Amino acid sequence: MRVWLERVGLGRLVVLGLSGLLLLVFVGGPLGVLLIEAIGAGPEVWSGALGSAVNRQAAVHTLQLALGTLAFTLVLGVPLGWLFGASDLPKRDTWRALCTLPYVIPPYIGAIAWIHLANPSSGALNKLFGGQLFNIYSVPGMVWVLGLAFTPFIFMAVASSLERMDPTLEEAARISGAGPLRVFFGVTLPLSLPALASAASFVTAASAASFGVPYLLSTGAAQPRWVLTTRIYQALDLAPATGRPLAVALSVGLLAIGVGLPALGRLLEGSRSFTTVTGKAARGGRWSLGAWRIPAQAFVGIYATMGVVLPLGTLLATSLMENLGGGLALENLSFDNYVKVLTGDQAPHALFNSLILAAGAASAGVILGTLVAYLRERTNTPGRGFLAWLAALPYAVPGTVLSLGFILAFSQPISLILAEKLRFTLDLKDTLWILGLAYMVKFLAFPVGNARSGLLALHPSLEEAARMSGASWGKALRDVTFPLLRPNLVAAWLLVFLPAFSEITMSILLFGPDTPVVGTLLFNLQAYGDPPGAAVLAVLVAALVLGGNLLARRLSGGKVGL
Amino acid sequence: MPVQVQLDSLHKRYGDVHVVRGLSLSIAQGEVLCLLGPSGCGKTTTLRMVAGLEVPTDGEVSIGGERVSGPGLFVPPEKRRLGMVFQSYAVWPHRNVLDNVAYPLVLEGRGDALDKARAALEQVQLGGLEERYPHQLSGGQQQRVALARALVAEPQVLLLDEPLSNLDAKLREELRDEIRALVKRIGVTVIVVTHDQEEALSLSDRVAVMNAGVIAQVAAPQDLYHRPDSRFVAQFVGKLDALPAVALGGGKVRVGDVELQAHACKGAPEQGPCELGVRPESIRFAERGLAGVVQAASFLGSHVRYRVQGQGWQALVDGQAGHSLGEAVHLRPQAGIILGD
Repeated sequence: MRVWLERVGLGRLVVLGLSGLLLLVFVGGPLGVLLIEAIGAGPEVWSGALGSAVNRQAAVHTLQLALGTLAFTLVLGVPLGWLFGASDLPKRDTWRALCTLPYVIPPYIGAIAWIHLANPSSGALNKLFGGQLFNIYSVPGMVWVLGLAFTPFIFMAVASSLERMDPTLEEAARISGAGPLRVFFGVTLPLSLPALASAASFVTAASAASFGVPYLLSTGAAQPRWVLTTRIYQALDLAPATGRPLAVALSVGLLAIGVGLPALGRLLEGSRSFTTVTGKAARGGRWSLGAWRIPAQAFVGIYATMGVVLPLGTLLATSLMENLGGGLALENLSFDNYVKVLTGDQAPHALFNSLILAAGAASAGVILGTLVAYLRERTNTPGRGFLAWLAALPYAVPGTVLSLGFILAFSQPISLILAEKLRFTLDLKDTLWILGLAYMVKFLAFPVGNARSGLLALHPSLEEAARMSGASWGKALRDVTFPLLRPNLVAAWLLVFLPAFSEITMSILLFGPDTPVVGTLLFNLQAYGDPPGAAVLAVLVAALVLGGNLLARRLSGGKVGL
Repeated sequence: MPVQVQLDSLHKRYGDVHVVRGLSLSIAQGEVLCLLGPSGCGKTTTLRMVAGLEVPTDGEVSIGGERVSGPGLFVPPEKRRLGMVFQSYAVWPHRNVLDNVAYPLVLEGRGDALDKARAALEQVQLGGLEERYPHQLSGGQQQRVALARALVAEPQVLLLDEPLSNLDAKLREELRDEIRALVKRIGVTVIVVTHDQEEALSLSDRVAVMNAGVIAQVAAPQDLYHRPDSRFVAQFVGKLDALPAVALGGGKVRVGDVELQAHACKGAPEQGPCELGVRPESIRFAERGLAGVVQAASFLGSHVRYRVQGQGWQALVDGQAGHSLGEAVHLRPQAGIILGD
């Protein structure tokens, strides 16, 4: 035993063992309990869930939302991707930067804006055109908002795969006698399919799992269109204890759609993985648009208007209006709403909570994720593959389902009694801890992935050289491995911090009376009668997220962020 | 000379793969020993077990008379007082040259770390480059930084893992001579791993040829080349062709109508039909002798290397220009090795 300890190293054993344990408790725990509940659910639970027309309709709406959003993003995103990645569209870098903004802004911000623009009774567009032309409180309305928000995922995948494709592949086809069109459909497009397919399956999963947009677009509606995520929330919100079996049953349905549908897509797509996309940005020639450059720019402009300018402008205007009905007259504009929100007692508290939680989750996630990545890439510990898989799993699980797991696992105090006087009690209900842990677990895939790719690019001999120089394992990590991983870890930190700061899906299920966060406060204000206050918060969130991204980009020399 | 490094029936298994199979070796203080072998023979694993970067499955390692690895004992790498140069150099990209080299001394908490590091850089002729970062250095310069870092803390043993394999041919030769001169001047014990026989022969006092996880032969370079123990060593070190011959007893051997005295490998037949291994430089063209036809000729600068085809054999022969393809020639081996099984 002593020798074995010496070989592995005591510090190494404790640190790596502890990270494995944390992973098992806080990822394995919630998902495991959920799995047990789902397996143990009796027939009456299932018949109760399936027997209700509302639930069946919710499943249908979720399916419509997922597939509708997918279709919407493909129709917009593929041409946009081609225009940005392979054509000579004028000012394409500017257009591209503008069109990428929805990528970082939480989709529910768009929903709030579109409620102001297109709600059936008083939406600005309906007033403008005089009538009830648009009804945002509908499944097509949800598809519209989510589709605009998720289109960047598609065009970014298409554009970057077109740009990074080895130009000699196309040149080889040209030399072989294929004309330009034939090259495009025969070589270029098929080669970018894998990138497109993985972006498409992400969009499908994210739409099925989305909560904020369908929730906001149902609560104010005369005829609410519930989807599975919002139904699960209702079940738990209306009857915190008795609603759980129903929530578990609905979660299984949500998993079937949100995870099963993309998996089915990947299966159909088959084993078509090509490793031809090189790292070099090496595109040779670009397609000349010729006379089509005008309609092409108009197309891009319409997306930019609908996806960015109109919603953000609406929010900004709303946040500045003293009287919502007063219109955009100068005497109706002031910073009163900002003063009111920021000097109230709710918003500063929620902002403070969100900042602490996001920073804490990001820091803890980066540390844990790096250790898990180290365990996976640099040791031969049995089970390391499973732990790395476990760490990446929560990102694929809809947030609603994950937080249901947290509720099931941690809503009662858990006592671990080792001896008479040695007992640990874990009581997380309504604490900041449960929110922070949920954020960390949900976004752990980013630090693990970033640290793994960083470690793969670092030759192990760099750390070994430190050991040979006389450094212990911990010292070698601190002096060599971590400093060299720093760009990856900084990026990972932001990738956790930014979505955690504005998180709503899990927060709304896990927050307590004393632990409001930005997302929950924003939803409260929007749903219960203070739209200008909600607009103020939305503008602040958007500004912080955009600013954070710009900062990250500046700090990392363009490697991190958009 | 006292023994500096002692390996006793060392084994390393990775699952079902038995990489090192009972290797024993002693290395004297101040000696430069090379582990030479084809890839996958276990030479790097052996070096890493000396370093403490791999844990032996079985067997013992002693350094400077102290056991560092064995049943019930494992001293971690940082406590073995060794220096190591890695194949990839492993010069830390986030530290400048001086900080790279000073690191082992800083860990020891020495106040004169920077001065000593500067002196070590002078020793490898990198004076003046202290503030540079690794990406501003050539491969050869990075190699020198790695060497200075490995030597700066005056290690008991210097370990070199394929130290020259990433350099171009000219630089390799230059650095090889320099490393040899430097380690001899300091008097440090050195273990080098390489698959390049020329590097092994020119750099080391003794060469341990490894094959399939065991040592095939340990000997001085000259002995290894001229008096190999086995067919494997004879063929692995240097160029060698086998000619059909007849052993006449007492090391005498006849090839065609030529008789000569040859070194016999272990297990070589004392008398009767045998194979005689000959190296290109120890065969001459002659008026009489083994008859063959020139099949190919490559001009190598100082000489021409011919491939001559005879009946049931072919051989490389170094000679001067003048023979043409298809020409009938006669060959006389000057020396040879009677090969065993």
